[in-house]
Amino acid sequence: MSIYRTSITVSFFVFVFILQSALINQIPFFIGGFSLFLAMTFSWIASTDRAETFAVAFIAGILLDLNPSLEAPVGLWTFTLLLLSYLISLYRESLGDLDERPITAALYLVATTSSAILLYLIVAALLGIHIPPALTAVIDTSGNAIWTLLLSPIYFPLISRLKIRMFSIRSGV
Amino acid sequence: MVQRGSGRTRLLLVTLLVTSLLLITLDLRGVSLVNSFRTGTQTILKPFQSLGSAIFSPIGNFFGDIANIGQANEKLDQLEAENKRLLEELAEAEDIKGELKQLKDVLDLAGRGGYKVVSAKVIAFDSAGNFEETVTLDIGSSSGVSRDMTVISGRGVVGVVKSVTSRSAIVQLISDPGFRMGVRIAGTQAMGILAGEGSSSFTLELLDARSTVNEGDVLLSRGSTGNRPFPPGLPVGVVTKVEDSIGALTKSATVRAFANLGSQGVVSVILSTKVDDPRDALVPKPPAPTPIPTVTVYLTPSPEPTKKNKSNRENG
Repeated sequence: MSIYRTSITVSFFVFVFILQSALINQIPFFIGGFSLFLAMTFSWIASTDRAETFAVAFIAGILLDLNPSLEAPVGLWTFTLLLLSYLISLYRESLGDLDERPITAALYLVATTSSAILLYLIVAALLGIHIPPALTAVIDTSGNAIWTLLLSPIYFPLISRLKIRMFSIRSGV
Repeated sequence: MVQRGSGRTRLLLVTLLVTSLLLITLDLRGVSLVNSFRTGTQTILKPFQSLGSAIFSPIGNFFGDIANIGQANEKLDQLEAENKRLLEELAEAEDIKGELKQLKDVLDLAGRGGYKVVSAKVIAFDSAGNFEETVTLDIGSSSGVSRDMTVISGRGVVGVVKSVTSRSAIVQLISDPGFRMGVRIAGTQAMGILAGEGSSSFTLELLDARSTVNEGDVLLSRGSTGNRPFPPGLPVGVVTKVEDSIGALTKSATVRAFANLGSQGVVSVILSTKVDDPRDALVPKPPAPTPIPTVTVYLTPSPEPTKKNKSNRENG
């Protein structure tokens, strides 16, 4: 992953992180909440190679860990996303081109974001960190899954086009 | 299909995993450098969050209101029910407060007169149907009440026990048209007969034509044989109007009762008396006059004009 790609990726995720903290978190969703950041992370990962997948997971994880409202230790989200990105990298080829398969893309995003939250909770529980009650966790995870599914037709094509445009500028230059 | 990565990619993954585990370990061991990252993030995010809040809070509140509309209605119902309950409690508290004052006044009067009394609540007013002015009390013979006992309030005579059951008593009010009682004008020996008229006013007829009666005179009970039905000296009412009819054998007057017969909640029944005749000791004290505020104006004479001032005024 080149310095240019890394800087673009970091800038993009910082922007999404700010967007999530400043706007998305203030929307009163009817059920649970919606993590645009996680959805964007897995949308980005969906069309990258293995090495870049790990790098993106690390960058996204570090940003999530820097969330000031988080009580879990720094590095927990990074570790969780790295584990998940490894699993994704193993089986991503079998998913095919997600840009041409919107339903598969939506299901992929629901599965990955939900798995990320559940894996995070499992690792946190293993480390002896306080986790929310099971019912709250189920509601939050389900809510996030619903919103991820419903909004995926908007943000998934957007991120694919944005990514192509951002990296094609460099190619053009 | 499981994809096999190159050694370099694996090394990257292992390095990143080790880094994340290192960060976790450092944080769990309380290394302040790691925590200061979050503080720094908070500092950076705060202006964005404030901006986002300013832009988004009206929309967020709108959606929040929609989401909570059911809860808001429920809360409103709950608050209305609570408000109703509190108003009822307040009314009840005011009622109890009023009854407590009445009870205090009646016990005070009984104490000054040396009467042994039993207090009762008025549970019914029976004035409309049968042209008789009566009230029903919640005590009866089981509390020592018997026929012809005097019923008083904190201000004076209310009536006489007419009939008794074990747990209730019917009292004939002094306003009853059939009610008659002997009274004495306080401070004198002038006596008369007070008759109820079915309203808040009564008629007084003096027994002796030579006696005089004036507006404002206080009437006290004259007393009966064996103090039943009336012990002597109980305040009854005040003369409000003297009838000046030429040629009448006796003087008559209109009287207003001290006791507020229509709104009496608590009364006492005199069971026995200790003092023979308190004379005028139970005459209610007139209310203290309300002080009228006075205005004092201080005048300071102006200094006499000097010659210089005088000449200036003439010139100018």
